[in-house]
Amino acid sequence: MFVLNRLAAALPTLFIVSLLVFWFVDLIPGDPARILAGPMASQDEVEVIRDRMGLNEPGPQRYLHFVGGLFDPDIAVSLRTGRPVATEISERLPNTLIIAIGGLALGVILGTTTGIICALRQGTWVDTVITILTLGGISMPIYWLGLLCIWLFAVHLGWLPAAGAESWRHFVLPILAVATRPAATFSRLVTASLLEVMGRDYLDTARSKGLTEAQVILRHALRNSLVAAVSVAGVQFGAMLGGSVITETVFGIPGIGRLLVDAVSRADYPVIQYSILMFAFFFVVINLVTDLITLWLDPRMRQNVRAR
Amino acid sequence: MRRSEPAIAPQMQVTAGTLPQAPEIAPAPPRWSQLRQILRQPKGMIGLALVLFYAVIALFAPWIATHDPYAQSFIATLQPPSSTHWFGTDELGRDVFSRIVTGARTSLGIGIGGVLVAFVIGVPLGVLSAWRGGKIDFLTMRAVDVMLSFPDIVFALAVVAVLGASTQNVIFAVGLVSVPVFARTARAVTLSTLAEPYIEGSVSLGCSPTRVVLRHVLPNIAGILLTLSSLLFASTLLTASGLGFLGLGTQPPNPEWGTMLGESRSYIRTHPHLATFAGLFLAVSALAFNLLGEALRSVYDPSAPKVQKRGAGAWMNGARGIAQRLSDADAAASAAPVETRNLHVAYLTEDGPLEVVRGVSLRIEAGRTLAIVGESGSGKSTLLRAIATLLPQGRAAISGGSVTVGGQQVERLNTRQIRELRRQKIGVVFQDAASALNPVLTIGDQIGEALRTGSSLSPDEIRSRSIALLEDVNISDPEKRLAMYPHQFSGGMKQRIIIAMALAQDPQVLLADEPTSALDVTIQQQILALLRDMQRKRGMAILLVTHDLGLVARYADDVGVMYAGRIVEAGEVAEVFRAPRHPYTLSLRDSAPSVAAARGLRSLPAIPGEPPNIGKLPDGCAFRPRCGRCDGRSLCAEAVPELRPVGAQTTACHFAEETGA
Repeated sequence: MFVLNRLAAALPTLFIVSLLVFWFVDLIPGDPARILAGPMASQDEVEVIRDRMGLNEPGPQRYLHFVGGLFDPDIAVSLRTGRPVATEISERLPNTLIIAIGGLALGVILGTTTGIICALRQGTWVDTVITILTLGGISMPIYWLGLLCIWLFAVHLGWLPAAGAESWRHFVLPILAVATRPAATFSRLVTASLLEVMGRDYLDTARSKGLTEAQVILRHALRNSLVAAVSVAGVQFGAMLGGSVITETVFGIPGIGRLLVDAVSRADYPVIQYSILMFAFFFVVINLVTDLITLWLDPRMRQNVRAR
Repeated sequence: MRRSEPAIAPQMQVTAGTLPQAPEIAPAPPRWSQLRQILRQPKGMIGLALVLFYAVIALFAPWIATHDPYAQSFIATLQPPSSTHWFGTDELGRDVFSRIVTGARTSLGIGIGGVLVAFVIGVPLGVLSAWRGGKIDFLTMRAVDVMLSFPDIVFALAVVAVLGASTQNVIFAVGLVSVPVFARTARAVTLSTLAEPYIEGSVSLGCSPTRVVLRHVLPNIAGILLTLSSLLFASTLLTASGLGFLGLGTQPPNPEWGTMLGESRSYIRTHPHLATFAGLFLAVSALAFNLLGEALRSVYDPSAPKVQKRGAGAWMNGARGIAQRLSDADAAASAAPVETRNLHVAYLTEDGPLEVVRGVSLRIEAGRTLAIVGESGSGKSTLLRAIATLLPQGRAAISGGSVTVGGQQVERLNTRQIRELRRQKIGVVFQDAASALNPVLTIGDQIGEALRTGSSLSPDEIRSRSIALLEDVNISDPEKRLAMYPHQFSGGMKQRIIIAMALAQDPQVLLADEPTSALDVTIQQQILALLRDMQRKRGMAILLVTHDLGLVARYADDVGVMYAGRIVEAGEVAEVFRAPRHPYTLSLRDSAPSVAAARGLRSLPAIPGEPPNIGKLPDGCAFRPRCGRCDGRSLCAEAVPELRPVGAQTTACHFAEETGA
């Protein structure tokens, strides 16, 4: 029931988002018909194309046309390549998702491990080093880190390719680079939430049962930071999808981030519209999924929902 | 935020040169103490120093730059760093150092501008929606939701796509992206500030809304907003430079760090120095504002984690070493379930170790209950934790004497043996059952864990034993309860569950730390009757820490009265209560039945004088300042009274014999 409610609440947001994207991109300077027709076309030819694209219709119709493009790949066509936007996007999406999911997974593993170490070794040099590294990780511009990685591993050491997406080896550097920020964020989150529960009686209860310190931390202390961790993971995943705009430029990977950047610099407005819409769609879905997982994890919230 | 001193003065006076100021607030003397608080942290000091460094570079760029940042030279392209060109030259032969210095103006300017845009739009929006509520609030929050449906940089990209790539548009774009964060935070802190009684007070006195917001709300939320500004500055800078990197920010030939990094991309194989310096300046400036933000947060955000004192580990190891040596000295094993000898326990404080248990020797035989009574702060709970081997690690340790549980001397055990000891021989019941159960695990999980640890029971056996345990502690429908979570039980039930868990492995010793003080009176009796029942069946030794003399009289066999970390009187309950010899016990007993019963108090009645400050105990007898018997006699100030047999019990008073006279 709650799931349905939550879904129902996401729909208006998606509607407003689509409206915004439609209207927003409409403001982009440059005449799409002229771009599609090419610079050599006559004014009449441009008018014909304009008509065919439905650009002369009133706003509401054009919005419907735009929404129709979601379901009919022939309506939405890239102005530059002439191929359906849906094809352009679906060809590139896997690359983007591989990097985002890989980066998140690596970041979560690294972050959680260092976070636990930090919390258990408060005030020692290990703690200091990790704290400095996490602050550095949060402050690091990913494009610079990417360039440094390319220089070190691709140019200097020659271990890995610098650009492209042909084999798994091409994904190693991008995943390493994008994992930095979630790793740093998770490390701080895990440390903070562990320190918060560290003095709680139920940890002592667990210890008094004869559990090892590792069991106490993993089963009892960490379990409570899981809820916060899930929502941070959701935010980070979304941020990484957005970050693909930059990562894919740095590492020359054909993904949707790169697609969007190219589209913006070439005023390829259908591609801009639909790829932004897709980002927003992903965001809304991620938020939804995060909420649902949180609900599933936290028994107290589950009961509140039932009571409602 | 400080809520303790509401209307005195605005909270925010500390600013770094380049930080955006909070909106105008009533003038007040500068609060240097807050600047000092920031500087006292290494984070704050380094952060502020770096921020000032960048501010100086940006302000004095024309004088610092060694060359014209725009001057091209085709005979000197892509040169490595040298004495003339400190950071080398770029693909057009321009001096990289001068471009970076000049670029500081653009990059930091974008950061400041972006944060300002976000602040100026977001904060009033947030304050307004908290203040007015209703439709405005609803609309604002919906708009924020929608904005948060786009990834930051994608949103900024879209804005730039519409407006065109230029420095001003980037400022606007990255500013707009941060509006939701400011609006949400401003709304949340305003809401909590508005709920404060003093604000409700001034509203009901007829203060104008504008005045209330300017005078009370803004000063209170300024600290948080300043913190947020600093942290957002870092992320704004990174997003803006990201746009520059993509070629959608500041346009060439104008220098900006992100744009410079983007240009350097083509030369990363051959001339890595181009990317090095611009990136370094960018990363360090983001780091600077993050550091400063963190420092600000620890000053302004009450929920920020506090830094723990360093060196705790080293001191603790030292303390453990002492305990080890001491225990070697009197290693005679004890047959009693619990025995402590001259036990000292110390907490690590800012000023060094502080002993809160100062030489306690006690012994509990199987099947008997020893109650330890005393005021809060007397060290009784610490004593219990020391016996339970549950002293907070790194913050407290046994600093002298020994603890023996079930014939094993605790200090001599390694980690694994301590675990075995906890599992097999010790059961602990804490004061607050609600916090002693893990809120996110089912009761079945938690009881099962106590049974499973160190045993090889099958899941079915664990289940049936868990059910039997719950039945033992009189919980009905045990099968159904196993799948339930702690918050679904009442306080008394939770305490029963804790007891069930404590009994899971048939311990020889049950340690109960004020097990009933969070419960109401009838439940209290049930729980203690249950404990006594369990004790009779299993022959456990019980250590009951409490401040309720009534409970001691009804449920304990022996009693030890604790004062300032020592036992001042001990013996059989009946004897001690019939004829107390120590003036402290005497005043406890005398004030207990009448006063407490009349007022319906369950806690220890107040006795005259200040409770002892464990860090500043007087010489001689610790009870001397409150004692009616001492009467200024010099012996009390000269010598610490030792426990000695007086009558049927032992008492630590030089003049114990004067009782009853």
